[in-house]
Amino acid sequence: MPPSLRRIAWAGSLLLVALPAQAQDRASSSARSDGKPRLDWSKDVWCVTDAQGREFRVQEERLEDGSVRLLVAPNEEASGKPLDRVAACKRSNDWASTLRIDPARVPRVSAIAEAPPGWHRDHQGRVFQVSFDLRRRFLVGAGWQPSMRPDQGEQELDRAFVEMGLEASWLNPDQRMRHTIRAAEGHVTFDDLRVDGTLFSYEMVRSSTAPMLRFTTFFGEPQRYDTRMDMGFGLRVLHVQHRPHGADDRVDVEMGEAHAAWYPWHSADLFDHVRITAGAMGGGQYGTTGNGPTAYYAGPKAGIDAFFNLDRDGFHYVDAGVAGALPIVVDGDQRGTTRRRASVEAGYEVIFLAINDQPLSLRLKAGLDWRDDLPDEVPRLEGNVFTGMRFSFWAPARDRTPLVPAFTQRAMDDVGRF
Amino acid sequence: MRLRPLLVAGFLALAATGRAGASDFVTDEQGRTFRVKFDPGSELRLGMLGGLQQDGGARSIDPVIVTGLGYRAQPSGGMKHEQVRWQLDHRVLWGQVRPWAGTVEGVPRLDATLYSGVYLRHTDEPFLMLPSNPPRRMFFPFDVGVEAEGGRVRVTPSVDGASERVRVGAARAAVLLDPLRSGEPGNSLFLAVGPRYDIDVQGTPTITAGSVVHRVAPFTDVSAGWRWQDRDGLTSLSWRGGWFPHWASRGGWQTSAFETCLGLDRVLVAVNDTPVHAVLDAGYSRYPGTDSSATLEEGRVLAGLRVGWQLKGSRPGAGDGRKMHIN
Repeated sequence: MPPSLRRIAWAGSLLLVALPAQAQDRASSSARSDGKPRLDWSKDVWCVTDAQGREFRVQEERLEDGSVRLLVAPNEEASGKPLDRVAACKRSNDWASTLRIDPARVPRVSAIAEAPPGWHRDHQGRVFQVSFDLRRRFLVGAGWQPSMRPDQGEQELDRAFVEMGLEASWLNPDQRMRHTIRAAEGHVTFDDLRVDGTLFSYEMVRSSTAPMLRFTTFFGEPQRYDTRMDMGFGLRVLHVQHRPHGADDRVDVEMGEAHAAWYPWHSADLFDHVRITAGAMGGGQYGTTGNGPTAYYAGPKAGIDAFFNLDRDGFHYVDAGVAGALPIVVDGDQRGTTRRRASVEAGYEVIFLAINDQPLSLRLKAGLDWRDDLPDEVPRLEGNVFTGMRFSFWAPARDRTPLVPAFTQRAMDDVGRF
Repeated sequence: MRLRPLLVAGFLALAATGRAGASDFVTDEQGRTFRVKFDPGSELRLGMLGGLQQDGGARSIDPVIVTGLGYRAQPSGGMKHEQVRWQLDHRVLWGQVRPWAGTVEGVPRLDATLYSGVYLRHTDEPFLMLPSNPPRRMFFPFDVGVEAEGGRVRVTPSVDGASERVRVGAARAAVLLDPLRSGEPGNSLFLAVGPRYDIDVQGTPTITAGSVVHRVAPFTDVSAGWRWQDRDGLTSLSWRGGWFPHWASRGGWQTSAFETCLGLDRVLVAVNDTPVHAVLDAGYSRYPGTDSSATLEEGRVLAGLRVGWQLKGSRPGAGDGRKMHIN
């Protein structure tokens, strides 16, 4: 077929496809965009141009009854702006023959162009993020932080805080590991000025394929039950607390901390978890008025913490933890003295708005902290409540792709060796 | 890339259908191999029991630690119908320790045996040969065997002012007759008779001021026993009772010596293919005293758990069972 004839045939067939679809689009413009079919991100999309030079995105859809229809979506926003975040489309004049369909006979349905996972495209063709991963973000926040000291009957209600922090967590499916780093994380409260911040921390968890304990029961048919011992480790570098519990002339600098972690439960993507940790730390407490180092300490610590994302799209998060430590003074007059620290906290965060696809969230957190390693006049027990908002940058769409189940992974490994 | 899912599916199908057969392991539908048969005769055992114990006139409920290393060998030979199968049960450091029930010179209360063995010979067609002319062959309705024991130590601290005793079973041996003739491991019913030699050291209030008593049973140690276990080695039951009239260096002939014990053993669960057993143990013994000490009666009814690390086990193959299914 000569090129000119092919062009005419192509334009004719596209006219048959595009015009009714466009008419239907206009007719249903008042309808909710959710009622319109959407092109599937994971399937092939063809970009075709009609006789007027307008470009459309076309995708073949096979229905459950075996019939075929064509989804046709404009390749631009209603404002005329090119579509953002669309899949690469195929361009060919022989698209219909490639699909083995007759465009004149196949029904055409006006549709909305595809959007990547975690994103949504409205009926005007505008795309926006509807899923967020709050374990991958840089955040800034501010809020109200009342504080209570029950053992002295005191409370401070006129305190505010600002916070910031970077967190990046990613899954390595091949190694069955999740790595999480946090940096420059902390908050400053005022006007009773205090600082609590961490320079850097790292966590790793690995989902094992071999069960740690295999239980076989012998009541009736023998059955095997596997319990996995998914382990990990973590470390923290430079955790600074300026005026902990309001202690004047006191800075607690934890130089380093390292721990092993056991995950008795975690989600299939190692995102949600319940974790038990045990490790050691070391640091010092300093006077801030030029008195020099007060005491260095080192000792064991342990804790239990949990983190859950409650919904599919990453809008609701709950975390909680209990921790304890036994810092032992290693120099000075009190060398060998064992001090104690304990804390419990729980928090909730919910995204309620996104600005330019950057989520704005409400953060609620409450905690109790008890320690006897501060001067005697400083209250040992302090309760804090954080109520504030966080603005998160980055926060990509939540990827819930699970790891390959352990027994399948083992079988694949065996086949690979075989 | 498309080949891998097919290989995986094929592998899983092979694994799912492949039963371990005569081995002690099976493979489930997920391709996981685990042990379902055990050998209670070949294991290193360690457990803790608790229950009622009576030592003389005193009753106690202090815990008991059970220990032992057992190994069962089953060599066989001979032609069909004349095949001979031995069942050689060896036990080392087998016994019970009660670490919180007092001591004798720092040694806790215990009843343990350095070594004991039962060697049972099974033939499909047992017979006796009479040295007549011509020699005659007669059916003999027993399996025969030998039992040997050496180094049994029973340490009994003083209770309510009674004597401290250390009883050493220096040696014991017996000839066994088994009318059950099952030929199956762990299954026998035996009648035994043989000699034994015991040495007692006892003193009141402590053993340091004690005396030594030699006890000799010249083929007057008579006992009977029965033991049973299922084919998978999950449940076993044993009973033994013995009467051993003997001559004592102090007190002369004693005819009241008697001891019996009953044991029930059931695998509840296996952890990493190591069975955890529920154990029920009961026993009673009457041991004669001397002219200066009373007869000692001991009884116990104990229950608890023990672990049996298996020393043997026929896997599906030399390596990983799942690989053998592919082959």
